[in-house]
Amino acid sequence: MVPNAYYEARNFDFHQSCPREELHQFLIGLYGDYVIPSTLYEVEQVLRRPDLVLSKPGVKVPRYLVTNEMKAGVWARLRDRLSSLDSSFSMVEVTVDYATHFCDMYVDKQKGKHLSGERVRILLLALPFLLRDLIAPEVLSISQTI
Amino acid sequence: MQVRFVNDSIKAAVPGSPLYKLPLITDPSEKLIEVHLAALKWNMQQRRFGLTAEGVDKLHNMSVELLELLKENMPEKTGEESGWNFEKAHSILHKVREIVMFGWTENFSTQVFNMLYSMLYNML
Repeated sequence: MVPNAYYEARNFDFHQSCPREELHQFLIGLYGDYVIPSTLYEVEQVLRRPDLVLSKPGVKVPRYLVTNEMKAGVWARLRDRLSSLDSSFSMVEVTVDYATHFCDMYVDKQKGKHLSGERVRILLLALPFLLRDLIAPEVLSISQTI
Repeated sequence: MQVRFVNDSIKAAVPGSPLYKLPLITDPSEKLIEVHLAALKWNMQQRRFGLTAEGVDKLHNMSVELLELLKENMPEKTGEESGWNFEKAHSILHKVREIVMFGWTENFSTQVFNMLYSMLYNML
């Protein structure tokens, strides 16, 4: 590579000066790798607060108030909400396979599971509207919102 | 659902129960949605073609807001100590500089090459 004027700049770092592109910086890099796992972590932290146990202090395997089955129900709910999106109503389509893949990757943390940037973009478009009342009672009728 | 179940259990707990008089839990969805919406809006803004000075200024404010929301609403990230103090999170603050230097973000997108790479890989 032929050095140019940039290289004359003091403390110039070629790699730091390169632009970060959307796919790996934001969609997969920040949103897919950190924001989504942190979202699931926050929900789990609420449900599995260390003092929410039914067993006496000091036992090896604590008996949680929110059981594994109840916890799995939360993520099954999110998976079902995801897979209910179709292009006629939501402008984006999420298949049952994709929603299952989402759970395998983020909930079950299966190794070797990945999502392409375009698929993460679908999550970016959809998740803000799917997280409401995930663990709280949903508003059941329009009259309750008025 | 789960929030109601936990809070009902705490309220019904009698003295001697491990749940007796514990603080109630609250649904975190509002603060989580706030982060996700900020991320969505940031992404849409940084993709805009022909951003003006006002546009990049707005983008920078949105970058700061997103990073602050991440720290405020998801303070523990996924339980790691470093929190949101790492390069990829910080780099959203550099987006305006990149747009000023290199133009529209599609100019340095790897989307097409990524897809071509996959196509070539599948042909092998």
